[in-house]
Amino acid sequence: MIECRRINKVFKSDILEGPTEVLKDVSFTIKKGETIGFLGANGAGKTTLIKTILGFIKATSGDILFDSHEMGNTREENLQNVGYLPERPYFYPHLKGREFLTLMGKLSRVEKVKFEQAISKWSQRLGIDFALDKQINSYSKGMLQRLGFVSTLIHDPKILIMDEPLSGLDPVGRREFKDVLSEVYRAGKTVFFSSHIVGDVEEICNQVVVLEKGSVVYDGLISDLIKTHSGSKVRFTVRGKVESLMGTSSNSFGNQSTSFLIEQDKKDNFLKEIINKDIDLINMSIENQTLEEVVYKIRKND
Amino acid sequence: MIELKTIWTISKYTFIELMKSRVIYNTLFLGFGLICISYIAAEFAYGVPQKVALDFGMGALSLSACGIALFLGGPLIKNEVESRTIQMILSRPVKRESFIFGRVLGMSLLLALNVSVLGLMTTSVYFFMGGEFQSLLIWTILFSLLESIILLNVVVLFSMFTTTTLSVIYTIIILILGHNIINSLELEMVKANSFLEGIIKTYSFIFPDLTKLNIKDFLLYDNSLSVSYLLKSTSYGLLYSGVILVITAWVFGRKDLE
Ligand SMILES: Nc1ncnc2c1ncn2[C@@H]1O[C@H](COP(=O)(O)OP(=O)(O)O)[C@@H](O)[C@H]1O
Ligand SMILES: [Mg+2]
Repeated sequence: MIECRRINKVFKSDILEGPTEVLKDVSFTIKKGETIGFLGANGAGKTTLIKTILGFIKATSGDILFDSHEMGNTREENLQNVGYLPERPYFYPHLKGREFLTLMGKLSRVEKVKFEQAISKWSQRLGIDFALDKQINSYSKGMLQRLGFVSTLIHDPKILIMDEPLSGLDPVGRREFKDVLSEVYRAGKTVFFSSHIVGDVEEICNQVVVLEKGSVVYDGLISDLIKTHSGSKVRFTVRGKVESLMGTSSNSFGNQSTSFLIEQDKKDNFLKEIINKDIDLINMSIENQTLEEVVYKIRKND
Repeated sequence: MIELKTIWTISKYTFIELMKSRVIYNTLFLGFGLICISYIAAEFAYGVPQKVALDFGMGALSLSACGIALFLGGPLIKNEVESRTIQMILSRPVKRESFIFGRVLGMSLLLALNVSVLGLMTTSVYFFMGGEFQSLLIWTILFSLLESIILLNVVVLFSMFTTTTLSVIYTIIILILGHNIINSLELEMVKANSFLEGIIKTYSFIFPDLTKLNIKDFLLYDNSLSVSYLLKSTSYGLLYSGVILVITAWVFGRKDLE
């Protein structure tokens, strides 16, 4: 749907420190029907790239290509199919929630009946309907975020592009946002959102683009990332306290049991050792690494 | 067509936003106060009372229109960019030019409302004191509106390049020069110096010549002005504003919105 091709962005604004290279040769494609997490630490360049996609800032070099079949030809047609939520959304404080959503609906070139239906549906779904007739300047941070989320959905876009949609929410809000994201994804929309929290991406997305200091260090399936970058270890749990076996010290132990994390290729010998030493084996399982550990590893290797 | 609808939507919401900001009430209150003072002054001042009242009233009207244009016009676009509300708007199928046109149109409507209300108050006082109707009454009010719209466009253009405060200050300088510099062409010193004359002529080609819109003296001394002069000045005001607006839209289309 959207392809970023060799995007570079250099900010020249800082006279003292000289130009800063924020994006370096960033390339990846957002394909239809995927949920893509855009993962990177604070300052990695996520917001800058998203603003480039939306056309708020121009890339120093490189192209953003919208698939004309799905997204139309002109910039206006492209944007009609995008639901965008900025980082820390800020709205016209003197408007009421409903007035703001109506403004966004009118600007989105969709029929009034359609966007009004969508407003009532999504504001109920996101638990902000009770406040729609209040002035936005009385909204809390979480309420603003909810209002922003509703505004990204009212024109039934094909793709959602959200910049850190989960930050600033309480645990209940995070849960609800994740549910709605999964829901629209199941309904066939493409979801692309940035985050610096690995767990959020892991929970919602099937794809991930990892950005590190302006460069893409991984782009693909989350499961592949975990498979290729984790040397899948095996966890052996045995009864009682065992300090070490085969020169491997125990990973953790309680009063009742001890566990060892063993590399795949050593697991057979380790099992033999347990049997030879007549140790009581309670459990043996493949230990999958989480995305968090893997991403941490990629970073260390660079 | 759909672009026009977008512009209209943006101007409508801009108008509502500015109305809610309440600054307008302050200037109306100020204008009202000045008109009251003009009524009192007219009673005591030397001269024809209704003319004194008209002088005061039109002065207050012009001052408040220019004041609103400057102080609400400076942040008109800049605030949107800095508070990033603009990102919400421009993530929809809205051209950047349409955004600028809509904002400036909405603000112009507010100026029109302000000028209408103060104009109505001033002329009411004038008629109440026995003044007679002249078509220049309407023209003077209209020209005050045009002047404020020119200033609005100038301050918005400045705000593309510099801070709100500086753009307001620069525009005030333009306002003062615009009322005086053309008159200096009449000075013997200037007439004698063709270089100076050239500079001033170039200046008035680039920057607004506001003397064209200053017809208050004609109104006060019962002088008439030809229709062609009035129409020419109106066209000048509209054309000047239009050109500045297009330049602003062009500059804005090329900016990074961070
Ligand atoms: N206008 C700018 N001028 C100079 N540097 C900028 C500008 N905007 C962002 N940056 C820098 O670019 C880097 C990436 O910023 P950002 O895209 O906001 O990261 P993220 O969203 O991943 O936290 C940061 O180091 C930031 O300081
Ligand atoms: Mg960011």
